[in-house]
Amino acid sequence: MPAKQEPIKIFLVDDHSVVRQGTRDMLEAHDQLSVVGEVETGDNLAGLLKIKKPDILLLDINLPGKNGLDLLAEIKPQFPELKIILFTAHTDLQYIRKGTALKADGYLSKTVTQEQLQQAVLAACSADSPPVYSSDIQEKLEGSTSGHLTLLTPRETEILLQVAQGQTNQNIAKELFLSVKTVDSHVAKIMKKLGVNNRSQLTAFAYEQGLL
Amino acid sequence: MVAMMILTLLVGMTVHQMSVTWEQELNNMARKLTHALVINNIRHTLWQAKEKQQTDPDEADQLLQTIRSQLSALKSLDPEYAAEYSTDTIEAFLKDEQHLAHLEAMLSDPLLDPASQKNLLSLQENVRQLQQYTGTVTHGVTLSMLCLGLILMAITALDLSRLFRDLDRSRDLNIHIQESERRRIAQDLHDGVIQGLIDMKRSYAPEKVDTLVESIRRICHNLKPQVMEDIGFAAAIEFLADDLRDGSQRRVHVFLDEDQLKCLPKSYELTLFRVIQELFNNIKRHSPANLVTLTFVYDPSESRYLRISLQYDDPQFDAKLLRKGMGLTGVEERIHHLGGRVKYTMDAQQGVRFQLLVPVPKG
Repeated sequence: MPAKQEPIKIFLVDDHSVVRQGTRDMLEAHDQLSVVGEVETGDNLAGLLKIKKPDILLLDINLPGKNGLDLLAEIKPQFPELKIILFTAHTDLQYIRKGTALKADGYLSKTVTQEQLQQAVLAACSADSPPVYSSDIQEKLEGSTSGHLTLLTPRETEILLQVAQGQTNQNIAKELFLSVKTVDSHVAKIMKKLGVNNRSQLTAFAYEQGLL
Repeated sequence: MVAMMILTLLVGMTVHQMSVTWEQELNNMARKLTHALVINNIRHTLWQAKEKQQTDPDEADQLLQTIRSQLSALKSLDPEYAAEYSTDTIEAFLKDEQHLAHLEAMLSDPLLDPASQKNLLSLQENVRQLQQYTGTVTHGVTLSMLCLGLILMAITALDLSRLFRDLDRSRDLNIHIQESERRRIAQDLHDGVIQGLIDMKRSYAPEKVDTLVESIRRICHNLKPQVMEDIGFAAAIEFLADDLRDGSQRRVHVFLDEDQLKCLPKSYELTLFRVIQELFNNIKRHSPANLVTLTFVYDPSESRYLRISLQYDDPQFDAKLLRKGMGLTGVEERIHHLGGRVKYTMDAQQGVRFQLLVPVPKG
């Protein structure tokens, strides 16, 4: 963590110069923040980071060549100390989830205000900070229900649904072009995974999961 | 089709050639048989002539006359063959009665006994029948070849016309799909962007800009699935599910295993994305469905087919309506293009159920 007097060094990656200039202005309006470098693409990004030694990398996703997510995956293991924040117009959950999965230290949408941007960068810099999100991103994350039966494979889920709807194994086999034996073994596996003993418990489970 | 035609023609020609060869062989055999019989007759008559020469010269003369006519018959049948049997020697003998020794030598070949001759005659009759039969077969084959050719030509013509009709239909469909896509984009721009802008003109608020940006971004995403390029197929499908949930109480479940779907060819991903997009659009536009479940199952050890099932509650499901809006036709067209098929069922208890079966190429 940098000393209090020393400004936090920030590096920008964005293909639009207007955005880079705007971001730089917004950040440097705070006396503790300083932009030490900026590039349009991810070409030779690692080399530049080694020279500039920034504390924070503000990374756009939509870039010519390698996109920001690919760059994140590539850079993060090489620079474990560097805090990488995705700074993007993509506010879809798929991007946010992917960013989180790649251990981004923050995800900010480009609709943030100057103050929000400054606060987020400052927050990310403190040691052991949880990932920082802009308020719209935070909302999306909270509103999303993971709701996935990660325990079961798609095939098992499909069979569970059929069982829950009162289909016999024979009917399921016919419907899904499987042998009855295969369906039997799938049903047994599902019951084992979910720790239930009979078909009506499977129906109850499906109902609880919002599948019915 | 063309390959089938060529194959059939080749087989037909071979059969034709074979029957022609059989006919020739049979003709040869028949000729040889006739010759053998004629020669045997000549010999027989010669023996008689020899015997009669001492006792009844007149009858012997008559017999020799018969031999002459038989010989000329033989010559007309096949001069070369006649030469083989030393007909010249016989002629010489007939001219000069002193050549009896020659005759003796010539006739040393055993004569056919009457029973063998009878057998030979019946054999000749058999051969003649066979000849007739083969002739009929050859004609039959020729005729059927002609018919087959005509039928194949007719089929090809029909096929071609169907192909042209399909092409026409597919072009129409393309235009329709394009038009309905444009209509949808226009509708999206009108409902989301223009309305938003008009509203903002009345009263500005920064959140309204956010909403507008969001709706324009959705339109862009629908036009070009950027998320699929950036993150992958599974994320793109999740994106569509989010879009279907958006602003409604609908519960949308997607079950897919990203690793399982990794072996799909890249070109399939865009097609399947468009198919799901269309099916979801149909739900958005025409259905009050509350619960939508989409499952992708692909297990190469069980089947080489990827099975996509989409299930939702819609008591008023009307396939005709979907077809009219081209949505369903577009889905079917796209799946057929991948060699797959589309099945849908509607039942009060299970709701609407689409099953898409798509064969996955190996490797």
